[in-house]
Amino acid sequence: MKHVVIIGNGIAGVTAARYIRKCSDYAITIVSAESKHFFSRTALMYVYMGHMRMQEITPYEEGFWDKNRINLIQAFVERVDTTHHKLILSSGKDLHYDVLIIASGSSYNKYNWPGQDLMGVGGLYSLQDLEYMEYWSKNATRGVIVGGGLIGIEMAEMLLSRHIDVTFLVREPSYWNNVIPAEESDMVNRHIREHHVDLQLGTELAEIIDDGAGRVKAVKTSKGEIIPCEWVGLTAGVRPNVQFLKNSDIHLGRGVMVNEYFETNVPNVYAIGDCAEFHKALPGRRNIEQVWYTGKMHGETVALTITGKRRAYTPGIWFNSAKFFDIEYQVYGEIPPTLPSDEDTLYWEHKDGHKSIRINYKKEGGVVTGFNLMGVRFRHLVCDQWIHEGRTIEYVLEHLKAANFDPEFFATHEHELPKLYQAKTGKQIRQKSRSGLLSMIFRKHSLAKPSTTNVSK
Amino acid sequence: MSTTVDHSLSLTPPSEMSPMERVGALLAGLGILALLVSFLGATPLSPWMVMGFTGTFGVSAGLLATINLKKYKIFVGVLLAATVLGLALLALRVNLTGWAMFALVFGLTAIGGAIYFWGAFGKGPAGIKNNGLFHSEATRQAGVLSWMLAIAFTGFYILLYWFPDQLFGLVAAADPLYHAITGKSSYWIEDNGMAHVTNQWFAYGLVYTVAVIVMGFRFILKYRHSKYQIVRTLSVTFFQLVLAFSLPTVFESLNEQQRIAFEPAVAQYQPVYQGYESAKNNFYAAKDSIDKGANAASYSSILPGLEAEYNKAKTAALAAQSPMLEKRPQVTAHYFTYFWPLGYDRIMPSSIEYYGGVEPYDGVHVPSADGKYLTSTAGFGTFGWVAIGFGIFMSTIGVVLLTYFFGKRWYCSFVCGCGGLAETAGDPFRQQSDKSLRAWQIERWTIYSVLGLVTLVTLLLLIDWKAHFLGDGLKGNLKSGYGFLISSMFAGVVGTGFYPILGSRVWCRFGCPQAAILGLLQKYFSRFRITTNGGQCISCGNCSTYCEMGIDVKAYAQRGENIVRASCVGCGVCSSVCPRGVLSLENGPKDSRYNGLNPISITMDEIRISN
Repeated sequence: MKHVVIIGNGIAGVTAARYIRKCSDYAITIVSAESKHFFSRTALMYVYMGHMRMQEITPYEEGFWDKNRINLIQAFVERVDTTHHKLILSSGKDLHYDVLIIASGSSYNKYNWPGQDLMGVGGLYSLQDLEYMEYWSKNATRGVIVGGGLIGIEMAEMLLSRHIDVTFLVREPSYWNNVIPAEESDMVNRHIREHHVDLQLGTELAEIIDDGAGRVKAVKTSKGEIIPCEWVGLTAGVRPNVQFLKNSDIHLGRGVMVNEYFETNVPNVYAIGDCAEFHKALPGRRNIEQVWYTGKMHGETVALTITGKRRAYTPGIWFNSAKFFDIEYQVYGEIPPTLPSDEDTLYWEHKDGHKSIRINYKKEGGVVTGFNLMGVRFRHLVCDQWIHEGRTIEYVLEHLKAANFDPEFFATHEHELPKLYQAKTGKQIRQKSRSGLLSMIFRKHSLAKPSTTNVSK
Repeated sequence: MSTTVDHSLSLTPPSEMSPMERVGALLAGLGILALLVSFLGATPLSPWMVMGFTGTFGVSAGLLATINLKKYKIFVGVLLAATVLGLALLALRVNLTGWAMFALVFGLTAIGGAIYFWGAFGKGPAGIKNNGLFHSEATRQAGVLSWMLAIAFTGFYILLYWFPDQLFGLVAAADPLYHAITGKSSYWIEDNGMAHVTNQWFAYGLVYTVAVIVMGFRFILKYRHSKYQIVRTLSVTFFQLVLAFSLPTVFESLNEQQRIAFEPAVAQYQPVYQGYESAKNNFYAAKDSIDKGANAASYSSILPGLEAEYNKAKTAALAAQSPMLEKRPQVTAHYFTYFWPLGYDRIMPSSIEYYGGVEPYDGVHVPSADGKYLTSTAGFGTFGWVAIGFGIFMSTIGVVLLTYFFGKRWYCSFVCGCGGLAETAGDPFRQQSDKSLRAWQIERWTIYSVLGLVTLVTLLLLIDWKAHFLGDGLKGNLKSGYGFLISSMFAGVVGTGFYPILGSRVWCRFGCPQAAILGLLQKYFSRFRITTNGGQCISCGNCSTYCEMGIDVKAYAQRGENIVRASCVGCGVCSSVCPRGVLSLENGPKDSRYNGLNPISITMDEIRISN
């Protein structure tokens, strides 16, 4: 019987294991140095904030692994010997494999800042990072966070939950404006400040200052300001964990180089998740995808290939989500930070400045290319289906109420978009209604009918 | 490499309280102090009880002081003050009563609590406010404070049900309001100073309602970003305040007034009835003798005369009772928000006879000195029939229809008093519910056992109504046995007392027969479901953690499946705490409630085939 060994028990590795089990009887072993059990990495912040404990962010009950015959080993993989098909573990033991999946994830970036290795300086990716942060931020009065991405804003929320003041250094002129459009980015800027975070845009870290005992005392910014602090968070992105593969035969770039089947240059060795780097990125995507959802899809796809149904990575229509303090963010399809020249956009923002809806569409033909939501929930299935079917902006506006996914009694805003469209084009759209008690009770057909077409085709 | 991750993540106490929180905590602390001291008002009755209380307070204060004196200094102060005051009261033998006590116990606690919660949850942008819950001794699982709270709550319920005299202080604090509304008193004090509680239920209702209002205010502040939560909380607060507390009290007061007005009519009827009673007795005594053959000859001759007198007296009594019956009380304390089987007596013979009335022997009603006995056999006319009719309608057709369209939440999260308390006062403990498969198995056994039991008891009593096979003793035992075991022990002592240990919906989850019925309807005959939004779940676990019913919501959400579970009360907190907007409570067509594998899963077709 084939033995599949997976390095890493994050979402990519565990999804691969689950789907291999669904499709085969192979022996499966997951090796992880980080933790005994799979946990939700995106939920680590809630452990620090006291919303949950480790056992609450562990998605499967203890018996799950035995029941599904997935063997777990907690050990660090020192190196991979592809000639003899074995892993050399930190315990000194060898582990033989027939098929190897590398899903070793990533680590936070350090850009050779002076003082970056002082005590009280750390990022947030792994469980160990969290334990380190828990320890060193304990009596902090101020933390300085470097890097304006998703982990940076999460860390700001974490520190505030412990009543630690936050200075947030963002290199860009506006928060995350290399990913989201200017209006949404500005909304987040305002919201960050609403939470009394000292947000410093267009500012970089120059130096971390030692207190003389090896611990951080202050931070010096690129603008020359010195900010006393006891904690420095490094959240300027992550890079693949491939150090342990340096002396193997496996080709590395920034990550483990793979083709669209997640195959490396060595037969029977695959790489998925954060640590995989595609030779050629898919259109509109990056060649290293470090997102929860893509990790899941990588795992599913590689499982098919390994169990004999060789399948190229075709992830379908892009989607993602996040939460900036209290503002939920969802994106379906392509919403680039700057509007492509052949596209037009409808952007509505609530007067309270905490909600917005954006729809992008082609100038020629009006085909909708993406939705960006702030503080409003939309139905994944409906948006996915509209983009997949190439629906036009006018069709989408007419049916927009079907996309709303907010809880009952929430104020709805879908009717605002046709008004914007009319102001822009002069065309009037009659929007189909969804609300009303009677139609709610006697509605015959579900608004979110599952897609009948396979979205990946 | 650390395998004991859970312990290495230490518990960091939240930082200092804001001035507003301090003021609120101080006021509420004084109110609670008054409440604790009021328990000691039962002094003359049992010095042992007072010593028990003061001892408990003292030990608790010491315990808290050793854990973290700085953090719990207010608690420690209140407990120590209660100890000292209790001992002083014991020495002086003083009973605390009157409006001042009412204002202290209810007013100060409520106002102080409201101010405290405004300080704690009212500030800053609206959003999820669960910071530090698992760092607090009161709300983390099996914290010292949570055990102390559980013991205090359970103790309260034991006193409430079985030793009401010991709650004299609380009853006396609530009594001014009770007296003002109904004109009655809920306790009396013997000449030697011993206090006796005659009605602890008004005081309990008041505590319950104040808890729902103040904690409801807290809940609304905490979840003010969600209109669903606001509407739902206003609804349960309304139903508790108006239908479950005020209306029954008003009914009771009307009943009292009508009863007083009724007494002269009873007094007028009394002699006529006496005449009827003796004529009847004379006639039947003679008849009995004849039947038994004793002095048959002499009685036979006077029997026709006695019969004529008896008939005459009966006619007179029937004529005399009609004007009296018209004046009988027209209302009685009734809760319109409970249906069978939670209000298990809604369709029991005794209730139907009480509300609707029974035909007495000869059609002649037996008066009693205060008219009470008569009232219960003569029924309450229109009011009685409406009460019974509404109860039966809701118990049968009403729940089916409403649950079909809205799921069981229309009751459990919008109307029910038990649900109301769980959602408001129980909210700080909602994360304590056990999410394991084992707990789910136990839950299904216990809840359907209670449903089976109440169904059996009701059926036996209904059959016995006409068939008379149980006998009075067994009949009484059946009803009181169920009442003791389920309504008092399970719903009260365990159901509410264990909030801090087992989560806020212990009773609703493991015991409530109404929830069992609504759940079965919700599972098999309803349009309600929780929809999972495509592939957006990140398995973070917030939904499961904050599900008070112990449903492992994320187990469904992470597979992209909708959640259709009998136990779901539709509180909507899973949807509120979800950081990715994945969950939505919806009423939709029944046939599309379940969806299979994650439709955004890129491999769904292949996986389906392979299975």
